[in-house]
Amino acid sequence: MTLLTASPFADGIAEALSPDTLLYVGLGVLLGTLVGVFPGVTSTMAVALASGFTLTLEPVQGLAVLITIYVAANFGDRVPAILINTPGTPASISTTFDGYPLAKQGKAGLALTTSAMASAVGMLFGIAILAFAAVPLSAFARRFGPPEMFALVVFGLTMMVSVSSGRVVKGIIAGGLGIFLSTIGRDPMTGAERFTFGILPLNSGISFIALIIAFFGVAEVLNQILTYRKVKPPVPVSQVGQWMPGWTLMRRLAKATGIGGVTGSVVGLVPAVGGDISGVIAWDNARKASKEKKKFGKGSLEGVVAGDTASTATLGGSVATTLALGVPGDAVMAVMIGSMMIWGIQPGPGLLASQPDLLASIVTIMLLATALAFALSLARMKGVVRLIELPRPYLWVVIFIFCMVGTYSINNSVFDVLTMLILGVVGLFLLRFGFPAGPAVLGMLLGPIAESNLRRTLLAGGAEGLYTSPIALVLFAISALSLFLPPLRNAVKRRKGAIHL
Amino acid sequence: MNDPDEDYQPDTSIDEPFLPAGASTIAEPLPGELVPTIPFRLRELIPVVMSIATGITIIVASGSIRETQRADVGPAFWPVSVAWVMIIFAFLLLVVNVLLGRTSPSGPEQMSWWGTGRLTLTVGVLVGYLMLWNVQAFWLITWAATATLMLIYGLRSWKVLIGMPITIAGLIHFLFIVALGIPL
Repeated sequence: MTLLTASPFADGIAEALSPDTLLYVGLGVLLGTLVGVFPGVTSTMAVALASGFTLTLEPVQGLAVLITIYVAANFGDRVPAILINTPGTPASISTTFDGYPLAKQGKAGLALTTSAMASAVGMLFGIAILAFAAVPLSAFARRFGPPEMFALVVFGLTMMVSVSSGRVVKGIIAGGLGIFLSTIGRDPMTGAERFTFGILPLNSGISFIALIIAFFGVAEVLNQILTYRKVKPPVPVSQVGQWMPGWTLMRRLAKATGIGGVTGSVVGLVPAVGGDISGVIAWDNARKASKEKKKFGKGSLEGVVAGDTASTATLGGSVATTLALGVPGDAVMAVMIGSMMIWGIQPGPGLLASQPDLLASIVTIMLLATALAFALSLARMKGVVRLIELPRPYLWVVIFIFCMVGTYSINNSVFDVLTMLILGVVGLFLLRFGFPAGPAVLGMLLGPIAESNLRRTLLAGGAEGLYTSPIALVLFAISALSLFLPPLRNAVKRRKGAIHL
Repeated sequence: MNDPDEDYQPDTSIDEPFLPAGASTIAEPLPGELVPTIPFRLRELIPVVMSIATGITIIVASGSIRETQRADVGPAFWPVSVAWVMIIFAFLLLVVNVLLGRTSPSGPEQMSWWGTGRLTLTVGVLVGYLMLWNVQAFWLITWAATATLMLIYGLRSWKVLIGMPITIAGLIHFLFIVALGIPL
């Protein structure tokens, strides 16, 4: 039972500390750690799958499962990155740069422990950002009218597209496909039927959860089947050596940890940019600032801590952007928004004003998840990596069945499951032809917000509203720069390279 | 003097799998095992055609949306605008990837014949499984579907073929039907 007090923050904390929620936090930490350890399962896929069976829970309990999976996966994924040089999820890409070389030098134990500590510190950086930045950000966003909201959605979409390296055009087309899928059903303003072709269940539109399960679950597994070759699993490094770092070493790593924490916290606030990118940026920043530059990439503990601190520090910023602006901080948060909307929680500028207790609950859940995942990480996780030896087909079967039953459980609808399977094949097509799934999912999620705000703006005063608002103009300018600057810079680089040759 | 490390640029791509030197988990393909790849330009023509076709289909289908009010920004305005964006960028893709032949940083992993066959069978089994929902006992069809998929993927041990499907069917039954009350 939740204790009700005069303070919404105390209520939020009490709700997160209720026995039921604690049970779900524990479950989420176990699931998340396992997800992180399996290189074929990303945290986005796991959260999408878990969405299917958490929808019937109370919102805070459901969020406890989803958030803790997200947090714990960021601890578990370091284990295969260090022991077999394969990132458990994309967020641990930077861990492989120095983690595996350290393991080969017989320092796997030290790398695992230091990585876990760095991840915990990074998570605390992120949680601090969430706790202190979400409310001011939300207060600022409450001044947004329809033109600014439209510009914000465009900004979120372009950010997701611009990080799809080398695939900007395909990212825009994928975003367009997602927006189109969101228009199927009844028009939110006039009630007119759109693209339903007389199929009754399409009147209520395509289920967002079905789409994310299809794109992040079914499509990924279908692609793994399509490209599968029977191979012996990689052999983990067996010499682990010393586990705990001494005080002198920890003091020496403080600078790299700080660089990682600051980089991750800043990058986390940029919508749609995840831990994988911030980890690599921080690793490079730490390398430039280090006195031992040459060790980077060959087994530097500074490299491990900088990347790991940064990639986990983005989580808090991602959650803050999602709650305060309604624009997902990364792909996992896009999935989580889908679940929140089914629970009646509408992320956006008004959320934290109407439900201030939610922020306290989420911060508490993240702190608990960090403590538990950190404790589990210190429990000599080398043995967990043996799970990698499990043949992939076992995993495929489990994922397929969970995807189907999970989708059914949203509306008890067989039609939703059929839609999910069809979208799974569409997702496979996108994957095989280089279209990033992120913009498509974001397009589906943000399409209705963009449409209603654009139409309201145009009906109220014409296109003038879009270019007379300074906030909208700034957001449009950043969007345009983020889309067109990288390709232009690459073109200039190529031309310079050609001249030199 | 310039520091040679200053020019170092780490790979920041997020969508391609990171496979550092010497860490590949993929075996050398056996002769005849992999599906031959299509030349890059021809291959890139497929997404271009699909994107343009999708855009045109949206525009054509938008014609049947019944406008309840006469306005420029009615229910068809937004999907038609999006369709045009898709078509314009598909033409850009045509120029950059097909005509100029600019290769993308990462191509897809090559398909195997084993995988192509198993994928087709998987889709068939999943659709068949779905068709039997609300017709046969759920635990029974889940057990049958799971065992069939395992057979397709080459798992032949009787312990696995009986034990694993029973575990999955039991877990699904307990989690979704008993604990969450989903009517399956």
